[in-house]
Amino acid sequence: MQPIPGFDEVQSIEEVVALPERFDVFYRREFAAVVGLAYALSGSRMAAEDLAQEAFMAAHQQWEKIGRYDKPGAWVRRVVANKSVSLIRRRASEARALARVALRRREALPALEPVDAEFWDAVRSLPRRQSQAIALHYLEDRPVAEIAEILGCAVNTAKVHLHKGRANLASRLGPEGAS
Amino acid sequence: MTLEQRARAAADGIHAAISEAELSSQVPGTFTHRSLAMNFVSFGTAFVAVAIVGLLAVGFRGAGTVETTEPTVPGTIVTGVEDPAVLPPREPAPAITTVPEVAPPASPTTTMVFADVTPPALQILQPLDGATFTDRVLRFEGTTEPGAMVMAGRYAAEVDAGGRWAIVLILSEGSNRATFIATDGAGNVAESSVTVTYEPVVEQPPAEPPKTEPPPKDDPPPPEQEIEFTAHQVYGSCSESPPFDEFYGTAAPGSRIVVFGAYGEADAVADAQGKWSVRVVFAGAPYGEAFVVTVKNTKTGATRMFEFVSYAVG
Repeated sequence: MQPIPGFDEVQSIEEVVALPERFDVFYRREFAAVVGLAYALSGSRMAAEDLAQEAFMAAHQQWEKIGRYDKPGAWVRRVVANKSVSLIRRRASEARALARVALRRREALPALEPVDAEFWDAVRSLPRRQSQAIALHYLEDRPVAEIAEILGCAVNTAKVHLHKGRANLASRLGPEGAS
Repeated sequence: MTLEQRARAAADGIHAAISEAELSSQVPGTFTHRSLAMNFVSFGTAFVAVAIVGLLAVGFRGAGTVETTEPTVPGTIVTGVEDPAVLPPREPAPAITTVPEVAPPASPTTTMVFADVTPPALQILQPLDGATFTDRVLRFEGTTEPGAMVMAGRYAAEVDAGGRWAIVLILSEGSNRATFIATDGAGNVAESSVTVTYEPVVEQPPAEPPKTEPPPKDDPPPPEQEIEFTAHQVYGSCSESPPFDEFYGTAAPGSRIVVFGAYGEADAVADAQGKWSVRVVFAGAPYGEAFVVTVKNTKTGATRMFEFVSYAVG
């Protein structure tokens, strides 16, 4: 005999119409941060920029719709987070990036310090959702609500991913990482 | 150093690397973007490196193997060359071959990867198109591809692991067209709309009492009050098969009450005392997944919503 939950999350259809932001403005503002996320989650100096580009290309192709989202940056991050953890996609992106280097079009991202690389290796060894939540939290200082929005899950679920991710990281990195 | 400090330092390392790198300032879609240039201008040279990485990726099991998820038209096959030394000319045609519906000859040295270009399925289960409601707050439900994101304008719906989504929206008075957009992980988009009408119940001003002689003391009591529409749920869940629930309440005598959800419906008529009750069977309701059951007074249009979960096995 309970009324349905969720009525405290009411939103208004009246507000859903909004003009999209210009794509080039969005791209220039968000691109570097999204490359960083791809770098952290893929661990590939070669592929990170390509993974980000693929996500922005997808956004560009549907910008009329995606540009009207409240947070199109969340959409792009979700795409890149999903692409980054796929081995096949990463290899394909690395292949293209390597080819680009062969053409001397662009250098790969610089390597991380070993201690930082070790940390992100440990993050990538976590279950997919935990690694994504950890990267968004530490790399972009995202609050849990935004992490949940990007990952497309409930806030409580994102909290659990973060909590378990931290616990797993602490055990994998040992005492120096834990305390 | 705490985990927190180490994480922040590692994040700074990424930020420093990004700052140090000269990232592309070329906005996608201008057709000078490097990925397009890669594919259509410099594909020949690209294959040298692609083939090398392909070799590394498959452990030398297939020379010249290429794996790609670059968006392609369905039926498009991207293949490498047997001998990296034999490079195709710098046109896309030799490297990208469209073979509709006909499988290429099997080759141990070729891997074909089709990009996901299929829009995610998107269905609106509730409310039905054209429905009218007297409640301003309305819950929309549907299904989509698992893992897809569903948006109503700027608002994200809750999507569970099975692809069932739900979102609560506030309607404007009159006709409302709610458009939902599902986007899957590959960026494919599907759109679906439903139009519903919100007609608030206008409260009638109390009618002036007729100017009549005061009734004699022996007359019956004054006219009875109008019976308020109420609805109550008995169980909320059921482990019997087929699962069922019971609803009861009050409404104006003669009112037809419809109870419906995604997996079943039933109706009842309020009796002379304004009481009604009905048993609804939800055959086929998925185990452990809550769904909305709506109770509607067809006379007034008023609705009440509940949740039901089936724990029936078999």
